[in-house]
Amino acid sequence: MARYLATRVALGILTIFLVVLLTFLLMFVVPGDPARTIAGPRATPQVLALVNANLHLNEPVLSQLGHYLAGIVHGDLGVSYVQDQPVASIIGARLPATIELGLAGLALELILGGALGVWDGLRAKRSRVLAVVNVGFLSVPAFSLAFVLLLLFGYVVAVFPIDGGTGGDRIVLPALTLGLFGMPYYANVVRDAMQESLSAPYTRTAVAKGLSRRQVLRHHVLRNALSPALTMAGLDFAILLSGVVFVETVFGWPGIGQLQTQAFYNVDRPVLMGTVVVAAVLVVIATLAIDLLRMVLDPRTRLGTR
Amino acid sequence: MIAPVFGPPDKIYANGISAKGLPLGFGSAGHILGTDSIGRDELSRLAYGGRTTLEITFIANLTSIGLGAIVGVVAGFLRGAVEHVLMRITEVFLSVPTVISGLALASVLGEGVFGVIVVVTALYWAWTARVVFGETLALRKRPFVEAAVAQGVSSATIMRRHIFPHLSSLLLVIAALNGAAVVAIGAGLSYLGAGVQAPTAEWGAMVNDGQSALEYMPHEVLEPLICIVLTVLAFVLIGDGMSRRGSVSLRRSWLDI
Repeated sequence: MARYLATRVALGILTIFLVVLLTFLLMFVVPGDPARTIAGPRATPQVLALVNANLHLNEPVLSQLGHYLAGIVHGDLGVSYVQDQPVASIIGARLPATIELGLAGLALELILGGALGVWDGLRAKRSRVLAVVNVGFLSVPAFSLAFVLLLLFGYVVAVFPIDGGTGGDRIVLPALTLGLFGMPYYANVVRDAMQESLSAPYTRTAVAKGLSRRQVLRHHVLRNALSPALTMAGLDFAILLSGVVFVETVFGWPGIGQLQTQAFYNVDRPVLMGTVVVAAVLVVIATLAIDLLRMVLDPRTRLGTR
Repeated sequence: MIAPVFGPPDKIYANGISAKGLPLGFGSAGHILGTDSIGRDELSRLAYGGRTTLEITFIANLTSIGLGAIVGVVAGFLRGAVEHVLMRITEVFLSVPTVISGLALASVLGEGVFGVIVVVTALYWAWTARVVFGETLALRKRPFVEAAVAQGVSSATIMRRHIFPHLSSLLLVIAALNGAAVVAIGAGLSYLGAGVQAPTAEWGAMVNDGQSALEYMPHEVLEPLICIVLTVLAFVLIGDGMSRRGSVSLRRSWLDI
């Protein structure tokens, strides 16, 4: 068990390291003169040299990579070329909005998808509703869905303010986009788990014991059926936290996704790299946490350590 | 291919702007689908945009699946150190959310049609690699492969003659589902400004062009959106029909947020 854990953590760190290495090398091949970007077009050679020295840009690639890696270990992601602020604090400032949207979106996904999945799971045959939702929502890319909701509820029936900001009910539309977008995935997972759970021996035993339909469903079927959905939610949350670029851009939600789009326009490489690194760290941690949690909650998975 | 029928995409029509300086709406005479804010005909731009989108989809789908399939088969068949190295790299590509890394990649690899193809390939090959890897592991234990190994046939020949043919139906399903995702992400990147650049007509970029006029001229956004959705829908339906017999289903992260 301890050995398995150690391997998993080591692999996770290796993955993060490789992500950093890849992004770093990629960013390094880009033509461009960061010192010029920072100091302005009329900077003297002395100023440029100073900026280069401060950012270690005059050193060999490997040494630059070393500085960057050392920084990451200390939670330092470098300094933005455009905003003159540490990348870590720029991302940190955007985090609350992203967490808020992520949580709201995740909750809607779980509620909508879970409800649909449970409702459908109680039928022997896959219902038409789920089939339509499956194909319908899967073929609507997130930014298209966002625009449809924006038009419908922002202009046609102006229910929600769409001035691009946080607070109040401004969160409803972006969260609903995420919720509808994620719904079919959860519905399918929950439905399959329901079907499996309904035909499992423990359910048959519970029915044979004479428990009421309600009790069987609540204590035996649902408990087992919802666990795969929760697993999915964990990873989903990590992805949502690392920034939902399309939805945030369409609705002007000031989160990490929007920050990334801006960094792209400004060719602000440290910020771009920072968001990628943060995303990778979040996903690796979430994957690890889910596996551990599942081992704690579900004894069956403990022996099956791959 | 029939795009030229609808007229040039970049021509700015003198009658394309109304007297008030607004673009023409849906159903205007001469411009059935209206015009955009500088007076270009929407119908011809949509037709040419579809050409761009399908071009990107076709090539990027082919390259990402090809790369993924090769990596998956080689890792799954050779096992050992090769498997470890290749699958670790695959994991790395799977562990960063698509759009986030897409933007970062686009800023490095440049924009335009070629840029989008490279970015999309880099983002999507790993999914194919993982699915194909699993399938190859199963195929490897089948008698005909073992027989070939026992006969001393070289690994490269076994992979080409015995493994790839058995993957073809799986790869077709992947092609359809991956295609759906590629359409969405290609248009999405162009929408963000990280893909095809003006003046090339492309659906995602047209959404971006139209969004500032969303309030009074929604057709500029809605028409390309409908085209995108219908194209993705077509791919999803094809994939859905084929995968009834298979086991691959569209993954959450294929169509990213």
